[in-house]
Amino acid sequence: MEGKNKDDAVMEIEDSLSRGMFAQERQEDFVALIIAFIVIVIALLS
Amino acid sequence: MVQLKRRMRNFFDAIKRNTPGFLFCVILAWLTLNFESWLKSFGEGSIPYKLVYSYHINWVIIGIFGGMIIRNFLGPKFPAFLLPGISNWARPTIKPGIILMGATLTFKEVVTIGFSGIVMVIICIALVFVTTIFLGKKFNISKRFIYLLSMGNGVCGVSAVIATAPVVKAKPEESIYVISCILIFGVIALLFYPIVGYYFNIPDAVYGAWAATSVHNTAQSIAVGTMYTPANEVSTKVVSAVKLARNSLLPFLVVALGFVMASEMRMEKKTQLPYVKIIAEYFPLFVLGFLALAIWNTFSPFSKSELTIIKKWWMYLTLNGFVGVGLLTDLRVFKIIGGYRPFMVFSLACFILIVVSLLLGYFFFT
Repeated sequence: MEGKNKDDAVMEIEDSLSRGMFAQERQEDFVALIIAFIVIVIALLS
Repeated sequence: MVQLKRRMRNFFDAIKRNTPGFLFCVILAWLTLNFESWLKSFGEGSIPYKLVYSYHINWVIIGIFGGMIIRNFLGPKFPAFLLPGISNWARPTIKPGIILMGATLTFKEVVTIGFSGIVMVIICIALVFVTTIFLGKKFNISKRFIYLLSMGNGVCGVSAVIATAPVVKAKPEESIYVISCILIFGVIALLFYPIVGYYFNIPDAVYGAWAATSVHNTAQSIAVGTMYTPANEVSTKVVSAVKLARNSLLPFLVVALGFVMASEMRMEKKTQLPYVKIIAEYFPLFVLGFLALAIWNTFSPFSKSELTIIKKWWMYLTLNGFVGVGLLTDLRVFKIIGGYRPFMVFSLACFILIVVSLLLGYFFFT
């Protein structure tokens, strides 16, 4: 069971590495900027 | 036309894949806020009152540890279909939260905190590199593994490892090893930093700088800093500004490491790395949002009512992310460390970093 857990955890990290985590981070940054902008607009309009 | 159809399909697939986990986090975050209000509603002297006011059980702690308990109580039975939404949509909501924190600071404050923070970070990074190289040689670890351990330990955790791995030509299993060390240490920090902080009565600003310079992963670092004193926001402001300063150094350190590797390998000019591209690609964009809001607040200060709305959204967004961090903390990560020597090096360097960054925190922030 322990071996299986180990494999699962390693595979999970390997998968996130191969998915190109950096491209994902850049995308997250863009979305974060858009969300923050929307919140500021809401705050200014209300 | 075919490409448009494929893009539309990918878009709807992403919504289908991520919505359940995201909604799960939103519901847990909502329950967390209500739970904290419910605890506060009890009178003075009651156990819930003591939990909130004497034991500092706040919404950040409830959100993170609630998520951790659910994830690890269910273990392998935790519904896998929730994970993509938690990882891809909920956890990253910490980033807009950090950006919004910029609206509560002036540019002068950012520069003051950031400058002290950068000096602290540079000292800490130098210390980590020296310690890791010294210990790595003693423990007979390969040079590329030493650089990977140093970057993971010194800069900003997982991102630093991912950015550094191709530069030092690290093996995938080495990257996974260092990422595991970072995540393990992050969990330990979440559990023990606030206890140490309250026990030794560490000032809020010192604690924030300490969390920012010694906890590697951005989400975990912000969580550790925010959970200390979320009400007065001091530790939150300092941890946000200093951690962003630390993250901003990443591309420059990757480039510096590229120079070192190139000279060590005697690379020819044409095989050298595209340094400008590395800086452009690895610079964390959300830092610019944080700075932009601080500049905005300096020249055209936000009104009290505007700040109330911004802070409310900051709380919702960061809490949602913290719940995601808790739900993604799988304690099985403790089992995947293979080989004790690099872990020993990482732990020893980390321990020195923790002590020195706390002392530097007292020097720069009191």
